[in-house]
Amino acid sequence: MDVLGNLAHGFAVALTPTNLMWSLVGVTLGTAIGILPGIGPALTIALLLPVTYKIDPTSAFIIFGGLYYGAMYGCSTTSILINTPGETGSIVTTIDGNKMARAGRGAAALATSAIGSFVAGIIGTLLLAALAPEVVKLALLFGPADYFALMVVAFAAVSSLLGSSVLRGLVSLFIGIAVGLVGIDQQTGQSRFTFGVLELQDGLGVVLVAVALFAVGEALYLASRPDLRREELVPVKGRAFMTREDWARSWRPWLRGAAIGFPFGALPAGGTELPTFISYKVEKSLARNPDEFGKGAIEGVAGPEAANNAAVAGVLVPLLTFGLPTSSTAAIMLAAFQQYGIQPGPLLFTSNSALVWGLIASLLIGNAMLLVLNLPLVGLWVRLLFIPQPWLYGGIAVFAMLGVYGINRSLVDVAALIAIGLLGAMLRRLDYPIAPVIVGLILGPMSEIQFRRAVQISQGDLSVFATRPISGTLLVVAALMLAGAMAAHWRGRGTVPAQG
Amino acid sequence: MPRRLNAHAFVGLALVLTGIGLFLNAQRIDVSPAVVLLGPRLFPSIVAVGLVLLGLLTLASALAGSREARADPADRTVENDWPAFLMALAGPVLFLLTVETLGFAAAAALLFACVARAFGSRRPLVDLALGLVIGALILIVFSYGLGLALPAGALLDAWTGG
Repeated sequence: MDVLGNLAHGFAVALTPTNLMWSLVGVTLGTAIGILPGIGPALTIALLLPVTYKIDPTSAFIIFGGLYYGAMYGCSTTSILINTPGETGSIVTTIDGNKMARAGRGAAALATSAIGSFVAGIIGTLLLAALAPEVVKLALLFGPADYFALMVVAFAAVSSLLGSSVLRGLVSLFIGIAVGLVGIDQQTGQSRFTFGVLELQDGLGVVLVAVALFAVGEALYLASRPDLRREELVPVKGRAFMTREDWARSWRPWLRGAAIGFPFGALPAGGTELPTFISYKVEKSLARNPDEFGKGAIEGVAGPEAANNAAVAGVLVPLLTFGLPTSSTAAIMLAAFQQYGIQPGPLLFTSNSALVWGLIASLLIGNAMLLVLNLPLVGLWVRLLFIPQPWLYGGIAVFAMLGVYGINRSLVDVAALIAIGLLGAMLRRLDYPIAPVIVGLILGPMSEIQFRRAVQISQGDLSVFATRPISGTLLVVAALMLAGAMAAHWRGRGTVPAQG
Repeated sequence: MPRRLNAHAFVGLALVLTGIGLFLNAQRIDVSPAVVLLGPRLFPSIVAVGLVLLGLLTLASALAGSREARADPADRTVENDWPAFLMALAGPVLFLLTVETLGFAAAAALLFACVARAFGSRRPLVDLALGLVIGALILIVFSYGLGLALPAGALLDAWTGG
C-alpha cells in the first residue's frame, strides 16, 4: 500500500543519526519545558524558534514535532502533580489525576498518562500517515473561494467553541485579525497601519504576538494575582508504575480516547481541549463505578490523556494538507513553516515529500522516545517542578526577550511585545480567550488573500462564494456553528473554558 | 460588581473607537480607482465594521448587566496586586531601555530580577546575579555558537575599542 512506501521513505529520512538526535532533542526539550507550569506547547515552540534558525527545515520540523508531542507529555505531568494544567488539553487530567496523586497513586496516574499518550500518539500518527494523502486529494479540489470559506469555518469554530461566550471569542478573533492587518498588503504593495514605522512593514509576526500573549501577558497577569499562584507539589514515590488492575481499566479508555481525539484534532475547532472533555464524559458514562470520577478514577486520566495526544496528530492533518492551523500551536508551526519559505498544503506532499514523511516518521520515533523519557525517567522531570516560581517566570521573560529581540534586534519589536503583553494581561483579566487572537492573526491575512483571489477570478462576482458547492456548504456550516453556540449560550449551557 | 461592569463597558467602548479609527485609517490607504472596492481597503473596512458591532454588543451587554458581565470568574473579591504588576512590567521596559547600551546580559539581569521580585522573590542581588549568568550564557551560546548577533553593549564596545 502507498502508506507503507511513504513511511519507508520517511523512515529513511528520520533514522539518520542527525535526525534521530534532533528528534531526541525535540522531545526532551518539549518534555522539560512542557513540564514547567505556565508554558504550553505553543509557547514552547515559539520560544525555541530562534534555536532552529540555522538548522535545515527538515530537521527543524522534526524538532518541532518532537516539541509538540513532548510538551503534551510534560503538561500532563504538571496536571497530575501540581493541579496546574500546562495547557488547555490537560485541564481534564487535573480532575482525577491530581486526586490520584494526593491519594498516593501518582505513579499510576503518570504511568497511565504516559502509556495512553504513547498508544494514542502511535495510532494518531499512523492515521495521519494513512489519511493525509487522501485528504490532499480533497484539498486539490479546493479553489480560493473554498479555502476562504474553510477559514471562515475555522473562525466560527474557534470563537464559538472556546471561552465562556461567543461574543468574547469573536472579539478576540477580530482583535487578532486586526493586528494581522498591520504591514504591507501582499497584493498591492501598499503599507497599512504602519504609522510610518519602518519595522512594522513586515507586520507583527505570529511568534511575536504569541510570545507577547502567552509569556509576557501571562506573567504580567499572574504577577498581579498572587492568589492564583502555584499549588504545592504532590510527591510521587518511586517510578511511574501501574498494577494489573490499572492496566485492565486503562486500555479501553486509551483506545476510545484515541478514537475521539484524532477527528476532533483535525476539525477546525481549536485543537486539544474539546476531545478531552468528551472523552471524560464518555469514560464516566461507561465506567463501572461512575461515582469514582472526580475522586481519582484512572479511566478519567487514561481516556483524556489519550485523546489529547491523538488530537495532536489530528491537528497535523489540516495543517499539512490544507495549511490550515486548528490550534494556536498549529498556528505557530505554520508561521515557522512560512519562515522557511515552505507553504504547507497539497503541494507540500509532492514538492517536499521528504520533509513531510520524515516528519511523520520521526513523530513515531519521538513517541517511542517519549515513553522512555516519561516512564522510568519521570523523576528527573519532576525535579524541574521545584524551580522557584520567581525564577521560572524570570527565565521565561528572558527567553521571551531572546526570541523577540534576538531575531531582528529591533527595539520596535520589544515595544510591541510589551504593548501586546499588556493587552494579553487585560484579556486574561477580563476572561477573553487568547487562542482566537492567534488564529485570527495568522488566518486573517491568509483569508484575505484567498478572498481577493477568488473575487479576481470571478471578476468581481461575489456570489461565487455561495454558488460553489464546497464554499457554499462550508459557509452554511460556519453560520450554523455560530448560531448553535449562541443558542446554547442563551439557554444556559456553558462552553469549554479556555485559557488559550 | 459595578467595577467589573465598568471594565467590560470600557472594553466595548475601546472596541468601538478602535473600529472607527481603523475604518478612517483604512480610507486613507492609497488605492488606484480601479481597485477601490476590492483592494487593500476592503478587509480593514470589514474588520472595522466588525469591531464596532462587537464593541456595541459588548457595551450593551455590560450596561444591561447581562450574564456575561455577571458570570465573570475573575469577579469575586479579587485582590489586584498593582505593585507586583508594575514591577513585572518594569522588567521588559528596563530591558527595552538598556539593552543597546548595557548589552544583552546586563539587560537580561535587570529583566530577570524585576520579574522575580514581582513574583515574590526578596533576594534582589541573587536574582540579578542569576539573571546576569543566564543572560551571559545565552549571549555566548547564541552569538558565538549559533551566530545570532546579540549586543554585548555599547559600553563594552567602547571599552574594548569597538
